Amino acid sequence: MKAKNLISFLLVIVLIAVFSYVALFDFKIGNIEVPSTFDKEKGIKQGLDLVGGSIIVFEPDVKDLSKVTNEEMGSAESIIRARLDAAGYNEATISRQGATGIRIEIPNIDDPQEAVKMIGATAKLEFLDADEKVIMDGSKKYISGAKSIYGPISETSGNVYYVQLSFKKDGQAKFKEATEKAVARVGENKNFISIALDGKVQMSPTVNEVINSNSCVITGDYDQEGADKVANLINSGQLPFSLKDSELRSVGPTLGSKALSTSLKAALIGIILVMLFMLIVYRLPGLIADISLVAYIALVTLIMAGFFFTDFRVTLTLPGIAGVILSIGMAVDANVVIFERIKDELRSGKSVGASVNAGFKRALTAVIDSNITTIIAAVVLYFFGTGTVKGFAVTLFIGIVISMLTAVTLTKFLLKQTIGFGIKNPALYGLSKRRDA
Amino acid sequence: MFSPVANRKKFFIISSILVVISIILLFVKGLNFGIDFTGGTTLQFDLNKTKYSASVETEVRDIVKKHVKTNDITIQKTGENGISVKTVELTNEQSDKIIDDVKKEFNLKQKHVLANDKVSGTVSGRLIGDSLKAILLAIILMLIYITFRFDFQSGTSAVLALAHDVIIMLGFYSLFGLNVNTSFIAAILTILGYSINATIIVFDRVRENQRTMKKASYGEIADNAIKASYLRAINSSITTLLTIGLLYILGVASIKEFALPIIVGIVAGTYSSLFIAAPFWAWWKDQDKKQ
Repeated sequence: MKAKNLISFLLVIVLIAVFSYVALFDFKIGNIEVPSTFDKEKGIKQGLDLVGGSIIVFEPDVKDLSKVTNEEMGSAESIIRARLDAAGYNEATISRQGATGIRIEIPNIDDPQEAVKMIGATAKLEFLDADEKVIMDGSKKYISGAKSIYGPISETSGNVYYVQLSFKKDGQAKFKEATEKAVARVGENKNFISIALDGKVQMSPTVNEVINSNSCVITGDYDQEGADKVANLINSGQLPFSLKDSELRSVGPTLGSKALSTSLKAALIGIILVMLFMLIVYRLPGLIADISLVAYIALVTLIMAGFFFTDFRVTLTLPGIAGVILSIGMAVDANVVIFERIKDELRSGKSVGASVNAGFKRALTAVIDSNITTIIAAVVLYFFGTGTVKGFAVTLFIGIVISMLTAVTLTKFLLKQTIGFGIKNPALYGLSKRRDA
Repeated sequence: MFSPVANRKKFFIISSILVVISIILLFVKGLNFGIDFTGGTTLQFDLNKTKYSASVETEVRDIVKKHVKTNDITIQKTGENGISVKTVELTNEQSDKIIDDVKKEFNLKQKHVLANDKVSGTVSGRLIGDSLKAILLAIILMLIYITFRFDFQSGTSAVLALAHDVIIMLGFYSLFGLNVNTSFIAAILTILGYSINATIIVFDRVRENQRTMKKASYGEIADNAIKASYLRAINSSITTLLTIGLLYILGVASIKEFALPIIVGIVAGTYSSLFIAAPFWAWWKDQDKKQ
């Protein structure tokens, strides 16, 4: 038995060491490259409050927000995207906040006010000919709308995504004239019509024939997203509102990086102190809890960096760091509850093996009930909170779930192995001879 | 042996005094709501070579007043040598001009503009509503869960202890004029989770004792549970305080503002889980039995 226990114990230790190594350092095996979780690009995403940058939330500048449709918001989003790309903000991310908010996060930006002006300006959508002369604008006078459709384009073709563009009467006439001219210039390779936003050409679909109809289709190798994008872009010419910034948060890079480095330092020292505390108060189980804590930290950082599920990368913000630290406290708490229980059982005269078993069994209800109530709080916070509060909820949630795994399952497994290889002196399990004899 | 249940009046009185003081503070002094809640603009600068002083404050105030017609200007020292200006919601042109003037006046570069936040009134209104909803919903759901897993008296006692912790925390925010912003909500919910967590560990023992101590009174059951849980409560709060305390000691201003009330909440939560929740439960159970 002893050998088997020792091997299991060492195997788990090696496994934890491997996970910790993967979490901490970059490494490469063959073609597989795993970045460190601290890697700025591929590791844990750092929130703008940690690296510096601006968060800008735009809303339609209208009195009654409930009248704004989802399609209109889609168009507004595509305008913003095009403008950010044009201005070279490649790292910017855009997301919806609530039904009528568009949240833009731009890291490392010097002058957020400038960006606000640029993004919030009224959109100017135009149709241009091959010489970039304006055929018509994209207003309601000429265009009645664009939508993305999934279906056959002709009787013989299969189903594809395409965009249907519908004209008003004036638009139909202008478009007929323009397509006639375009078709005539096929020899010069100038048989196209461009669509431009703010004077910048976004796309130039080829004209195959003269179109004299109240609608036409634009095809390409679109997936749904691509077709939606084109439709949104065209509809932006008809947006009935301009955008105003309802929220702006900018953190300068100096403040951001200082916040990150001090928090990391605090976390590191805090964890070392907690480990020492556990070791001194609970001795051998304390050491096991410390090992589990290492596994816990490695797992949580790997999950947040998207190592296990690439879609599940968490953006770490300041409150998020607090969430991690709090969940470390709770992970340790589960062990404290269990170890106090084990001491109780030892005092009642049970053997070490029986005490460890009973301690875990009896403490389990308390650990589960207390963690579930905290999970309830985290879930509510996630669904009702905004921005940074959401980040806090996510890290707290991940932390609690993983802590159940490491502080309960892993600690129990490791403790059983140590008992298995014959370490059975109650004094090593935190029982003080003087006080508890 | 010291009996928390027999001494419950003392604990209830101490807690009542703290809660009443907190409520008075909230009514008289109120909370220092940040722009997340009120709407407005906050600008934050690193003064670089200039030392923060009352005259610097006046200078900055004059600059703001030059561009905006308002008396709603709060100027505070932040961090080692930072200054923060909180005022009404500014247009981008207005804040641009103020930033430029402050930069010129104190010879600052763009990197000394630490933060520039603006929240419009409509957004902040929603934030208050959403936050209150979140907190109420979380409490109701936890109450249901505890009632289901323990009993209604336990659930209510736990929520009472929680209310005690949160009110004292609010009183602390008011007393020291700490900024109430989005991280405030995260702090409150942290304590919500922590306090309930601590109380449940005690009630888990109460639940177990009800099975094993068939002939004991509710008071004895509660006393025994408290005695069995106090070491855990102290050790757990020490470990949590170690990490959050270091965050307070080493962190930047925005972290300090977040960590300090959590420390207060953890101390209050540990105390209330031992000396308020279980004794109150025993008292209530006794009242029920008498009827």
